[in-house]
Amino acid sequence: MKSETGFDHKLYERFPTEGERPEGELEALEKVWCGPKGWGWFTAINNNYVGILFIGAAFLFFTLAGILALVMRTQLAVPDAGFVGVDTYNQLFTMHGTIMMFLFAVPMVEALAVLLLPQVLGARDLPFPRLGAYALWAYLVGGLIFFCSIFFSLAPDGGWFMYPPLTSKTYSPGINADFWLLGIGFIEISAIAGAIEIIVGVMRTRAPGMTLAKMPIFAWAMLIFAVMIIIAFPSVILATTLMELERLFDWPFFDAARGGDPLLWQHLFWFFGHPEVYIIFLPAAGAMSTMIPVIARHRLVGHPLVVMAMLATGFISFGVWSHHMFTTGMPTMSVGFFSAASMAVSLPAGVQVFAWIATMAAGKMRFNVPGLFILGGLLIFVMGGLTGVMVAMAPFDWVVHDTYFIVAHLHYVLIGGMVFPVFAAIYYWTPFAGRRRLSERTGKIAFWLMFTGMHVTFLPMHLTGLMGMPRRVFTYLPDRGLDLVNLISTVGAFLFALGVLAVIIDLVRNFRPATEGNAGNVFDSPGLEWLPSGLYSTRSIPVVKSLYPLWDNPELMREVKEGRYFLPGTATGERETLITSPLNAEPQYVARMPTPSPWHFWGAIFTAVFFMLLVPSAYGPAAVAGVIAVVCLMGWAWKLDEPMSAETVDVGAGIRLPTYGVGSTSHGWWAMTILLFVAGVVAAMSMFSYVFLWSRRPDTWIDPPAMWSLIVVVGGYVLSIALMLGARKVVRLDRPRMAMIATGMVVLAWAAMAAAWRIDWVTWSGAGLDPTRSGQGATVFSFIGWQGFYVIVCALMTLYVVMRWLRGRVSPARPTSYDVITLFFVFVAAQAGLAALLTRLFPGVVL
Amino acid sequence: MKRWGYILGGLIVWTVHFLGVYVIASIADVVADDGHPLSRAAVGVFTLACLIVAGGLTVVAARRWRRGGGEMGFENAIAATGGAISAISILWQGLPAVVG
Repeated sequence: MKSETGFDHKLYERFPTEGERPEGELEALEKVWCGPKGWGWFTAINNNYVGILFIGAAFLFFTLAGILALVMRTQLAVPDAGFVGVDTYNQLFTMHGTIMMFLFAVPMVEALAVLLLPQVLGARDLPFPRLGAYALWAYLVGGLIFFCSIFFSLAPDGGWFMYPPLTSKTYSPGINADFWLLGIGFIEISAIAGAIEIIVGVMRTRAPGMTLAKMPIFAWAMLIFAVMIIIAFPSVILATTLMELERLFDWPFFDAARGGDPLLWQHLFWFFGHPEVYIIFLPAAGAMSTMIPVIARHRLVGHPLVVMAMLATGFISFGVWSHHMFTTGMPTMSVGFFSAASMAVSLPAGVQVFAWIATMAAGKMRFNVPGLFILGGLLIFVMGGLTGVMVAMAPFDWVVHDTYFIVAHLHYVLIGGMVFPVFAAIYYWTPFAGRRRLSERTGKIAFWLMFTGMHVTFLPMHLTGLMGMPRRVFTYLPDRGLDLVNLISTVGAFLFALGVLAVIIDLVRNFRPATEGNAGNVFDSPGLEWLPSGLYSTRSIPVVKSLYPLWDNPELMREVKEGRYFLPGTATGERETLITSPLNAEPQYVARMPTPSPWHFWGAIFTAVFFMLLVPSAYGPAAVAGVIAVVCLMGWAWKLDEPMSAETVDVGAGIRLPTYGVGSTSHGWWAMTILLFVAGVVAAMSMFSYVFLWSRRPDTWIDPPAMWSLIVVVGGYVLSIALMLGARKVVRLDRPRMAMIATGMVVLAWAAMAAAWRIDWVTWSGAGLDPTRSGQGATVFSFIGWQGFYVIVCALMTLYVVMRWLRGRVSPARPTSYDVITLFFVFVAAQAGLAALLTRLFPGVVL
Repeated sequence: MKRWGYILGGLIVWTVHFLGVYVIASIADVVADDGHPLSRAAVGVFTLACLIVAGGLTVVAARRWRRGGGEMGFENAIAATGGAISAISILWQGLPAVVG
C-alpha cells in the first residue's frame, strides 16, 4: 500500500516487540493518567468518566420525557378527561418531543461515542477531552434548567418544532417560547462541540494500521453522524436566532404581513429536522452492525455495502426535508422531487437491514438480552420504515399529515431504530464500563414488557390517525370511535414504562462503574475496546491488521497488556496520544492530552446560566454570567499550545515521532476548520433566507447604499485578510522582533475588520433600511449583527495573541495558535465580504 | 481529498442533481410556473447528464473492484455501490418532471 505521509510501513514489522519492558514504565503511565479525587471529580475529563456521566444524563432525560408521555396518555385514556388542562397539555407534548429529540436522542449517541470511541479506535482519549467535558456540563446544567420550566408552567408550548406564527410574540407573548429558543441554542453548541471532537477523533487518532478498510463500523457510523451534525445543526441555530430576534426586536423574518414568511422557519427547521432523525438512527445502526456479528457469531455480511449504505443515508437524508411540508402549498414539481427522494432514502436503509438479516442467517443468533433488543428493534424499525414510504407519497401524506398516523410512524422508526438498539448497547457494553454485567433475567423481562408495550401503544395509533384524530389535541369527544383505541394505547404506554423501570432497577442493582477491572469480554467480541484497559485506555496502542482484531489475533490481548506496541509508557512524561493520518492511519506525531482543570467546568456552567438568564430578560446578570464564561474559556485557551520537553520522542520499537503538528497536520487546525465549516453553513443558510424572502416579496426591497460603500467595506475585509496571512508568515521567521511585528499585524487586521463592519452598518442605516419594516431589513441587519458577534470574538482572539506575545509565548517553532486564529479571521472577513456583495448586488445588479 | 472524492463520487453527483432540480423548479416557480415545459425539459436534460456521470463512475469503480481486493478493494466497492444507488436515486428523482 502506498504511504500517505512518507511513513515506512515496514516499521510495523518491529511489533510486537520482545524483551522485558523497563521497570516503572507502567507505573509512570498510571500516575500520569490517574483519576480525580474528591471534588476534583467534577473537573474530570477522561472519557471513561465523562462518557458514563453523559450516558447517565441522557438516560435521565429519557426517563423524564417518558414520564411526561405517561401523563399525556393518562389524559387521553378516556374522552373529555380532566387530568390536565389544555395549557399544561400543550407544554407536555412540546417538552416530551423536545427533550426526547434534543436532550436524549442525540446526546445519548454522542455519549456512547465519548465512552467507546477512544478504545474502539485504539486511542488514549478523545482529541479534545476538555471540550467533551464542557459539552457534557453545559448540556446537563442547561437541560435541567430547561426541564424545570414545566414546574412553573413556563415550558414551551408550541410543539417540538415551534412553528410561527403560533410562536411569535403575538400568539405566544410569554417567555415559554424563549425557553425553547435559547435552551435549544446552547444545546446545539454542545452537540457541535461533540461532533468536532468525534470527527477529529475518528480521522486523526486511530491506531496505526487502522486504514479506512479496517475502521470499525461503529467508527464509520459516528463519523457520518458527526459530519451530518455539522451540516444540519447550523440551520436550527440560525432559525432559533432569527426567531429570537423577531420576538425580541420585532424583526419580521417570519411575519408575512411585513415581508417575512412563516415557511422560512419550516425550511430552516426541517433542513435540520429531517437529517436529525438519521443523525439519531445512524449511530444506533452502527451499534447494531457491531453487535450482530458478535451475537450471531459471524462476520458482518456485506461490510463495504453497509458502510456505503450509511454514507448514502447521510447524503440522501439532506434531500428530503420538505416532505414535512407537503401540505403547505409548495410547487407541485418540488413536491414530486422531495417525494422521490423520500422514497430513495429507504434504499440504503434496506441494504443495512438485509445485511443484518443475512449475518444472522449465516451465523447462529443467540437470544440473550442484546440479541432480543436487536431483533425487536429490527422488526419495529422495518414496520416504521414501511409507513415511512407510505407517507413519502404526497397524496397519502395529505390525508394523514398531523394525525396520529404520523405519531405512530415516528415512534416506530425512532424506538425501533434508536431506543431498542441503545438498550441492546447498554446490555452489551455494560461489561466494558462496569464490574459486572447486567442481569439476563431482568433484561428479558424488560425487553418483553417494552416490546409488547410498544406495539400496544403505537400500533393502534395508525388506526387512530386514519380515523381522523389530529396530533397534539388534549382530548377528544366520546362516541367518535376513538375511545377504545386511545385506552389501548394508554395501557401500552404503561406496559412500556414498566419495562424501562425494570432496566433502571437492573442498572441500580448491578451497574458499578469501573475504569479498571471491568467485567471483561463476556460476549467474545473482536473489537479493540475489549482489550484490557485502564484510565489510559490500553497499555500500548496496537498495530491494527484486521477488521476483527481480537478474533484474528488471539495473542493481541496479551501483547498489548505487556506493552509490546506503540506508546507502552509515557514518552513525554505527560498524558499523550498518537495522531495518525486520516486515510491510512500512519503515525504522524504525539499530541499532548490535557489534565483536568476547572476552566472548562465553570465555563460550561456559566455558558448555560448565561443563556437561561436571557430567557426572563435578566440582561444584567446574564451579562455577568457571559463575561465569567468568556474568562473561563480564555483561561482554558491559555493552557493551549505550550512547549513540550522534547522535539521528538521514542514511541516504541525505536520509532521517533515529533511532539508537535504544524499547519494542516495539526489536529487543532482540523478542529478550527470543522468549526468554520459550521459557521459557513450558518452563513449559507442566512444567504438562502435572504434570497428566499426576496423571492416572496420583491416589492418590499429598497435600493442598497451607494457603490463606494461596497468598495470600502470589501476593501477593508480584504486588507484584514492580507494582514492576517502576512502575520502568519512573519511569525514563522526566526529573526528578532518578528513576534512583535506579527502581533502588530494581527491588531491592525482586527482594526480593519472592525472598521469595515462599522461602515457596513452605518451605510445601511443611512440608506433608510429599517430592520423592523421588511424581510430585507431583518435579514441585512441580522447579517450585520451576526458579523458583529464575530468581530467581538476576533477582538478576544487579538487580545489572546497580544497576551501571548507579552508573556514570550510566540515562537516560530510553534505557530499553530497563529495558524488557527488566521483561519478564523480569514473566514470571518471573507464571510462578511460575501454578505456585503450579496446584499448590495442582489437583486439590483444581478437581476 | 482525491480519495474521498472517488469514494463519494456518486453521492456527490446525487447532491448536485438534487440541488439542481430544486433550484430549476424554484426559479421556474418564481418566473413562470414550476410545471412549465422549459423547466421540465431542463430537469430532464440535467437528470440525463447526472445519470451519465453517476453511471460512468459506477462502471469505472466496478471494473477496478473486479480487478482486485486489498485496501483499494474496499474503496472501489463503496465507490461502485454508492454510484449505483445514486444513479437509481437520480433517475427516480428526475421522474416527476417526466410523469408529473
